[in-house]
Amino acid sequence: MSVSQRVRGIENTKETNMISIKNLHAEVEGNKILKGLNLEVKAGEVHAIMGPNGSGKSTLASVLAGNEAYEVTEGTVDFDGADLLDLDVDERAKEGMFLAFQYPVEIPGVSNINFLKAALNEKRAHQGLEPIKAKDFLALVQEKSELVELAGKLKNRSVNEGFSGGEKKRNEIFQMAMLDPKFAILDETDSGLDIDALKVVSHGVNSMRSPERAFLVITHYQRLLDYIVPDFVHVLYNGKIIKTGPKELALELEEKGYDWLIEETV
Amino acid sequence: MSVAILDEKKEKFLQALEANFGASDLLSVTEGLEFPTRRAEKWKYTRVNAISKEAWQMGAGVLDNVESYNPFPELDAVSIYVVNGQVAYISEDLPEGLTIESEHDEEGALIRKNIFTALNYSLNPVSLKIIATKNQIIGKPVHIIFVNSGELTTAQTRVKLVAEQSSFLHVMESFVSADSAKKWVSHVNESDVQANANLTISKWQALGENGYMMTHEFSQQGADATYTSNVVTKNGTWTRNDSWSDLNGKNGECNLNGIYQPKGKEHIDNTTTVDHKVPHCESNELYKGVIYDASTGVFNGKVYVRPDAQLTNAFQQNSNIVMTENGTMNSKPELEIYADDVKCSHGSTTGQFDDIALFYLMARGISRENAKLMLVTAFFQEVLDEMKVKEYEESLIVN
Repeated sequence: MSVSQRVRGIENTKETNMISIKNLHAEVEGNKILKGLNLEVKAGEVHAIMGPNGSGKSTLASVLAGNEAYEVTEGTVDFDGADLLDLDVDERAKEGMFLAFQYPVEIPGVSNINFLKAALNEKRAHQGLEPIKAKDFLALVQEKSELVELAGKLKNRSVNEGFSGGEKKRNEIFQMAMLDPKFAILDETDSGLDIDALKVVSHGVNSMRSPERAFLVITHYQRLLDYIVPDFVHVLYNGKIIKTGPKELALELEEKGYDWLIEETV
Repeated sequence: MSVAILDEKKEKFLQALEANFGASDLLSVTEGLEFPTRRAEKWKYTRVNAISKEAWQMGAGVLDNVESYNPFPELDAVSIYVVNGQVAYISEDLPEGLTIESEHDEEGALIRKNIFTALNYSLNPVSLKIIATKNQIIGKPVHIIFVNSGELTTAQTRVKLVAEQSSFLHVMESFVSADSAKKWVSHVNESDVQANANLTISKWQALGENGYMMTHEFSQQGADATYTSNVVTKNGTWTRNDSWSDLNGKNGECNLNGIYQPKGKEHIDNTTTVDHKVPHCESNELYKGVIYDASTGVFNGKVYVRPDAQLTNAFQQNSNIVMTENGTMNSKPELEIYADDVKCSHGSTTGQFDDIALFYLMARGISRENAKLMLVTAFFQEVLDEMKVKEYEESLIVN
């Protein structure tokens, strides 16, 4: 392969999809939630997914991350060349997927820092890298925790235990920054946050925007999109995307609600 | 009819022991003591027929490379090796204030708590006695390694502990197998914790496949004394740990901690009795288990608070995770309170593995196996913190 071809090859990757979801059907406990969802996200892009309660937003996040409570019954998901649905939960993460949980889990007895170190080193091993040096790890923790104003709050603490709602969400973004994913899903990361926490979280996300990374921002409220400005807004309803538009679509939805779109679809 | 069958079974069992141990008169020693059946409240979930049907014999008292069976070779301790119930080696370098001796038990010493304790005294008349002298802080633990080997062998062992006034002593007892032959270990502890003394017994049970293990732990506490019993059941086909703790002096503290993680078809039963006889005492029980595969766990805890035992604090907690649909946990914490000014609580929780926590860890890139280890370790951490035995923490999870 010549140099020019290789360069073109790299350019091509940027043009191809980070994630390509085709005709995705999924159900939980026999209830069909996703009913033929299609979505393509390219590297460097930020896509927002909005929709009324029960439309399937969080199901989409869970299915992509590999939550076994959900069963995929039809469809394909290509994740940067890999068959995503064939990968176990941890393999997806090792391949560069990250899910910021809507409800971060409290895990008493598991240290925040040790768990993150284990996660980072498993990912590094997967990439054929040596475990991170203790000193470098601590420096990274310092840098990334400052980003979300959590510095000093993580030492000697169990995962999310005793954290306020805002701290839990900031901890999600902190973990994202530590693990440096190529595709991050934020599942209602803004819900319940006060304006200060929202700014901190958004700042953390925005500082990570790059041409190599893509984001899927799931939210119920338009307000978040003032801070994390998306390239595309999709409306999810009844398990399908019924409308896609530019960032202005979010404002329109805020003003007019979803009913006009739903009527249009029906 | 059924009594006759039981009698016949018992007679056959005792005859084999008499022949193989050169003992006599076991029938009269165990008169009125029968094999427990599941009709007995304390034996509701645990059957003894795997033991009562066999003809047990004494194992050889020597074994090559006995040190290689020490599960904690790095531990700085006074070491004692016991092979198939017979003392093989006692460290000569004893710290000041520590005495280790053999004691020939008179007939009257026999504890007729049940058929197994009565047999323990009859089959082995010699106790190992460890004494911490008054006011002496014994700086390193005494570690007794009980190594067992041979098909259908039984070790009937007894360790008596005396912590004299204001002394401090930690005795660790590790039970291991040299092979996977069927064996039965029946072990008695009698502890005398005198005024203001602090005694801890820590047991590590790892008899493995075909290991049948019983412990019978008796403790008597004086005023201001602290007694702690830690038991980790690492593995073993069948395990029954019985303890009877008497608080006889004011301001005594009794702590019982247990960890178990049965796998395959293993059976593990912790049955405890704490007796608050006097005022101002405290007891804490914390037992946690993870039940894998088709294994069974039992927790049977009883706390008595006698009429005189006002201002008692008694806490009892048993928590379990059952990993599969085939696993079983029977948990029965009980308080029997006859005093009116006391603070007592008991709790029992048995649940499934936290799949959401597992998903969370895995979603960060941690493999399923490591994530499970992390969660199980976290579950046990509270008990490990109470036990304060570093070696257990390091060896519990590693297979």
